[in-house]
Amino acid sequence: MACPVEPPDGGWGWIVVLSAFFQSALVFGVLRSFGVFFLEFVSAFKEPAMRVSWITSIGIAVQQFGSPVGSALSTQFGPRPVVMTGGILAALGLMLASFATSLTHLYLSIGLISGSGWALTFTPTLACLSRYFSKRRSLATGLALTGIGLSSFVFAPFFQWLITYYAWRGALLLVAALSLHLVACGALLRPLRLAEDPSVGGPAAQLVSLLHHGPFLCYTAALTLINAGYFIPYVHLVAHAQDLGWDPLHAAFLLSLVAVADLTGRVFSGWLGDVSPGPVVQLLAMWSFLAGMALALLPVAQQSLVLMALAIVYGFTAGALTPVAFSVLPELVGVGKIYIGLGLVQLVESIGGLLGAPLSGYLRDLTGSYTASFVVAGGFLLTGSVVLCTLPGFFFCFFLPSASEQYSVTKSLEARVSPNRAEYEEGSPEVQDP
Amino acid sequence: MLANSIYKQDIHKLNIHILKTSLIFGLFHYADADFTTQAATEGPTDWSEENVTVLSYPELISMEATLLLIETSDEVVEKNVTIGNPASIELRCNFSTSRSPQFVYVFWKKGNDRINRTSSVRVFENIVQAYIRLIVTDKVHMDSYSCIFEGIKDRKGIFHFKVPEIYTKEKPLVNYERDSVVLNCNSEKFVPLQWVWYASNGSEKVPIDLTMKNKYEILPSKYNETKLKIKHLQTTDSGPYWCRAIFLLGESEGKQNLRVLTYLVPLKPFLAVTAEVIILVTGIFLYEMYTKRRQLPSESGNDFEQGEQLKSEDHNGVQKNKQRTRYRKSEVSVN
Repeated sequence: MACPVEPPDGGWGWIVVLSAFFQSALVFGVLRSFGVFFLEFVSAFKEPAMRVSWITSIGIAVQQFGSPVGSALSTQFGPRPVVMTGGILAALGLMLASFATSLTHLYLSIGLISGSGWALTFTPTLACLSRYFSKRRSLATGLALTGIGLSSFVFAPFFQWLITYYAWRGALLLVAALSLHLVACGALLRPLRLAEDPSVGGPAAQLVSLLHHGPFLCYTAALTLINAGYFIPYVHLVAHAQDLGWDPLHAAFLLSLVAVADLTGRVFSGWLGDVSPGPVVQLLAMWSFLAGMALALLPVAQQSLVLMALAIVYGFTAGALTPVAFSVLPELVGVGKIYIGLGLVQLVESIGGLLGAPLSGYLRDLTGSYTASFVVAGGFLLTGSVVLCTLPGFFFCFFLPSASEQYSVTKSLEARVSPNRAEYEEGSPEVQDP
Repeated sequence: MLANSIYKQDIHKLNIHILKTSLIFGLFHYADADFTTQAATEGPTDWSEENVTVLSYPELISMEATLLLIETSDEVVEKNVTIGNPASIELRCNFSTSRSPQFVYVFWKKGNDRINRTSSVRVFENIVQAYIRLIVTDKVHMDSYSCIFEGIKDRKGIFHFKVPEIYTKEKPLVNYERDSVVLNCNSEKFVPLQWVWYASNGSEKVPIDLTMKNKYEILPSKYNETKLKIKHLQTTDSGPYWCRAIFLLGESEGKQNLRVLTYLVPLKPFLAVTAEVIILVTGIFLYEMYTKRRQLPSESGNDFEQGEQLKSEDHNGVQKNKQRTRYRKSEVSVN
């Protein structure tokens, strides 16, 4: 594939969507369902719960902080070899974990090795997906991300079943086998050489240019704020419901409802992001704003029905903002720099995620109820949406059709980055639309 | 309280009166001795032959159990009473009836044998309560006791005396070779005299040889639980294990199943899935090479054309030409 093309918006792109779907499932679905192993580790190693929960914390931290590494390698070598290596690493880590004789063993094998494997898979895949699509980018991303939601439903009972038949050692070995499919998914990521690529330079150059890119930094800041508030309900909703007197089964059912709403929101928003005429950033701001409002109003709801309705609204809007969040980036920095851009964003927003949950827990301990936590989380989301409004090109589209708006935004960006790129005019595929 | 006891005395007198009259009518068979014993005492009574045993168990736990019987309902009412240590237990049957208390006749049975003692009775608003106090100090006493209210249809309530149950993990334990496992048994609120562990020898229970210190170990625990640690597991250790709790009043068992697997067991599916992934990856690469070869001959000609166009028209009407080339490219790259 020597000749540069523009995003195909279909064809092999849909295979990439499928690959990204399975990869989201195998990375985040596995991470989210790891709680099933929790009790087994506690009893097998006779360690307190807090030390056991470090396993997943290290894994998530390595995955997020390692994203830029995955991005840099993908820019250099293309996504395919990087993702395949990541898959092998992830499976290797889990396989070594099945022989563990102490908790430190698990920290290193699952946390470090598998975590690095996951870091090399998720971000490059999503970035690759963004390169394959332009018109239908949001929908493709939305569909791919549904993998996370669906896999959480399937993997938790499946892992439990594995543990019943094979004990945790055998179960880990079989989850390693499952994770090997990441390699197969990686093989599907055919490299795509886009017209922009030769001019954006190597990973280091891209990194430097991005760090000087005002809108990019602004966007990253907004996403960090959103991330800080985003996970709070998933962590605290069940406990809050039980505080209000719900019984545990109903509270867990509420969380399932939120998960279903999240899934629906992702697909709907993906579709909406593509057909809506305005800049996608507006949609992102809208969903973040709505999610923030729903979250801040949650503590006010005393009646079960109102709480349920607000939780579903939150689930829908929170799910909705994920695909558009990923879609805004390529339009902001151009598809040539997407790997590095996404890696950096993941790194910085993970700080928000890491700080958000403990902060809300601290507020809960301080005030005795979740009201403060939810309100603060909602505040983070609302602030994030306001920050998004300050991005250039946010308000343009009320007056201009999107095509030329995109054109002018990217033109201004490119004029700053590299003056002789004007002849390529890459980042505006809409220009050719009949 | 006082009113109650006065009432009780009245009922006693009434009982005696009733029994005397019924004796006349030959409805019941009682030994004369019963009258005198019953009328005189208020507190706990025991069977005369048990006086000696009562003295050797000075600390009897006092317990009570109650059943509700409805005259108009046909069902037999039963209750399990768990007794872990020697106890003095008062069994009460509340009989809800429209009959006047003086016409209520009740007696007690141990198993199938009638107890030769008149039942004491208390009367509340519209409930007649028959009660009896029993001393439970031996296995012999752990039986089913019933109170029977006579009438057109006999109404029966049964108390089953049971030794405490032993609680274990219900799920079978799965472990691997060279690992260790701890089997747990718990008797909740009761403390047995002794715990004994058994393993299975094909068809029968065999006590575990605790002298093998490098294999079996009883871990220190609270009195109401027992923990058996089995080290250096082998597949031959698989099978059922029983923990038996020995109480003064009987024995109770809990069962656990242990499965010891070798690493080969999960390894087989692992290798199968690995092989599947390798096949998938190979298939994907082969497919890609195949489609590339198909495209390559037809593409090379167009490449040349596009390259020329880009070079010749640099800054003039770049857009227009780019569009044309784009259209052409999109035709070619079908995938």
